[in-house]
Amino acid sequence: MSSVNNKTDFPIIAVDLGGTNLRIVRLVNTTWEASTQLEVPQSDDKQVLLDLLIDSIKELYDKDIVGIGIGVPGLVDRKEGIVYDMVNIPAWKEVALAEQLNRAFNTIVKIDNDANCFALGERYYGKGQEYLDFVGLTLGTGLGAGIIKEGSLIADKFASAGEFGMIPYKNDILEMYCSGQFFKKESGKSLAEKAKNGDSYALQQFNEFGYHLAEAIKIILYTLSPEVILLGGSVSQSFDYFKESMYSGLKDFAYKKVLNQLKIERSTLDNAAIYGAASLIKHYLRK
Amino acid sequence: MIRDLNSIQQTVIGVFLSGKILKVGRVAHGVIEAYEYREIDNLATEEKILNIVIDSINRIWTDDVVGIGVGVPSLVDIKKGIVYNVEHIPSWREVHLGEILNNHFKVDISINNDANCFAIGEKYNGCAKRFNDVVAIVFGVGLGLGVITENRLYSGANCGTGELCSVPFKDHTYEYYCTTQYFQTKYGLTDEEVYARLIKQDKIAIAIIEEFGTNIGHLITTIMYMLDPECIVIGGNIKKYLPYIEPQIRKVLSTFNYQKSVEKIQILLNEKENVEVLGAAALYFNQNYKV
Repeated sequence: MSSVNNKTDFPIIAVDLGGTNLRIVRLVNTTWEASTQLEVPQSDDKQVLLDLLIDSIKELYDKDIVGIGIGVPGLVDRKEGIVYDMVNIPAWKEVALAEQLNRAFNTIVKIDNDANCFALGERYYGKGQEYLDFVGLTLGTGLGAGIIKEGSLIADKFASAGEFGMIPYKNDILEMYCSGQFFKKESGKSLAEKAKNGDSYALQQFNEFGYHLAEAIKIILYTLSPEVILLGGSVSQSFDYFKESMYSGLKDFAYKKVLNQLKIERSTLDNAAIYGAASLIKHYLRK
Repeated sequence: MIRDLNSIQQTVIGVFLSGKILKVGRVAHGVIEAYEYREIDNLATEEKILNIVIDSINRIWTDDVVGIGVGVPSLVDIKKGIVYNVEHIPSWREVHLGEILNNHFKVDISINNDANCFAIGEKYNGCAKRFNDVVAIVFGVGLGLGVITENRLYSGANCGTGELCSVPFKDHTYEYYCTTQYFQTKYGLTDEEVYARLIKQDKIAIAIIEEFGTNIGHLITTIMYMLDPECIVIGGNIKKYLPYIEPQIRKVLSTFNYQKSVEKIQILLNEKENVEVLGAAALYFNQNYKV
C-alpha cells in the first residue's frame, strides 16, 4: 500500500478540455464548490476557444483560488505551458496557454495531457493510491494512457508518452479499434444500454472490442511491463461486457510470468481527470 | 538510481551475453581495463554456457573486484537474479544466475535485460550523456529496447519493458520487419549480400533497403508515441545502413501527428565500442537490486 496524502485546503480551478466537451470545476480537495460544462466550439480561430475558456473560468474565479490545472488532448511543453498539435482541436496548433491564463488571472497555471491527468487522479484519489507503478488507460473518444512510475507521472518531453492510440494496427491505428470510435453504427453508450438488456448485436460489438483491446494491452505489456492497468473513459463503463473477450485475447501473450501478475481494473472514480488536473497545482505547491 | 561509472572508484565486472556472443570487461574509473570476448555455442547445455561465463569472468578477475553486473536478453527477476527463457539460448529457461555467480565469486551480483545495459552505457558513457529521457534500440538477431526516463532505468515489473520485438506490425512483428534477418526470410539474401549489392547501386538492394527504412521509420514513430523520448540511440548491426535508410525514416516522421516532437527528437548512432559492457558494470551501483 502506498497511499498518498494530497490534501490542501485551498480552492483550485481544474479544467478538463476534451475534443468535444470542456468541463471546469472549482474544488477544494474532492469537494466541488462550482462547475460548468460546455461544448468546445468548432472554429478555425484559436482565440474563440481561448476566450470561451477564460470567460468560463472567470465565472468560478475569485481571489482565493491558488491555481489553475488543465488537462488537454495533445502535446504539452510543461515548463513553458505551451500546447501543441491538438488532434481534435485543429485550431490549436500552438497556443501559449499558461501565459494567456496567467495574464488573465495572475495565478499559477499548470498544464498536462488529459490521459496523464486521468492517471494522476487515480494515483491520488482512486485505485492508483494502492500502486506505485501502473498505466492509466483511457477508453473514451480516443485511446490514451498516462504512465505512473515509482509513484509519479513519467516526465517525458511533451507529456505525450502513452499515445498508444496512434500506433499502426491492422489497416489503421489502434485508436479506431480501442476507443468509442470502434462503434460505428451507434454510440458506445447506446450499445451499453442494449447490452444490459441482452441484445445480441450489442454484446457481439463489445465482444469484438474486448479482443482488440487485448491487442492494445499486449503492446503496453511488451513496452512497459506494468503490473496494473486501470481502465477509464466512457467505454470502460461497459467493462463487464468486454472483459471476457479481453482476457481471452490476452492468453497468447508471450511472457506468462508478466501475464500472471497483471491486474486490470476498471476505474470507479468519477471525474478522475478533473482531480488529476487539480493535483497539478497541489503538486506544484508542495515542491 | 543508476550512477555514473566515471565518478566511481571501485572495480566492477560487466558481463554482456547476447545469443552467440559473450563480452566481459573489468571496469574501473569508467574505463574497461581488461576484456574478454567469446563466441559461444548458443545451443549448448545450461551448465556448459554457465561455465563459459564463469571462466571468462575468472580470466579478468582481480581481488579488488567488488561486484558483477550482467546483461542478458530475457525477462529477469531483478530482485532474485533469475533469468527466464533467454533469447537464442534455448537451454536457459530458468537460471538462478545471481545466486550461482554469487556462490562462485562471493560478491554482489546485479542482473538486468541486455538492451537496458546498452541504454545505461549510452546514457553515461556514450552519445546520450546530455539527455534525461533516452530510448536505446539494439538491432541484432533480435530487436531490443532499453528505456531511461528522468535518468532512471525503466525496467517494468519483470524487466520486460522494451520487448518491442513482439509488438505486432503489419502481418508480423517489428522484430520480423526491422532486423537484417528480414533480408534472409523475405528475399533469401544475407545481410552481407544485401550490403555488398547496395554499395554497387544494385536496384533490388536499393528497393529492399528503402522498404527496410520505411519499416524502421514506423518503429521509431511507434516508440515516440509510446514513450516520447528526447533521444533515440541506434546500435547493433544496422548502423551501416543508416545513410541509406535515413530519407525513408524522415519521410515516415513527416507523417507523425505531433510535429513538435519530430522537431525536437534526436536520433543518434552508437559510436563507442562496448558501451553495453560499461552499462552492465553500472548495474552494480543500483543499490536496490542485488543478489
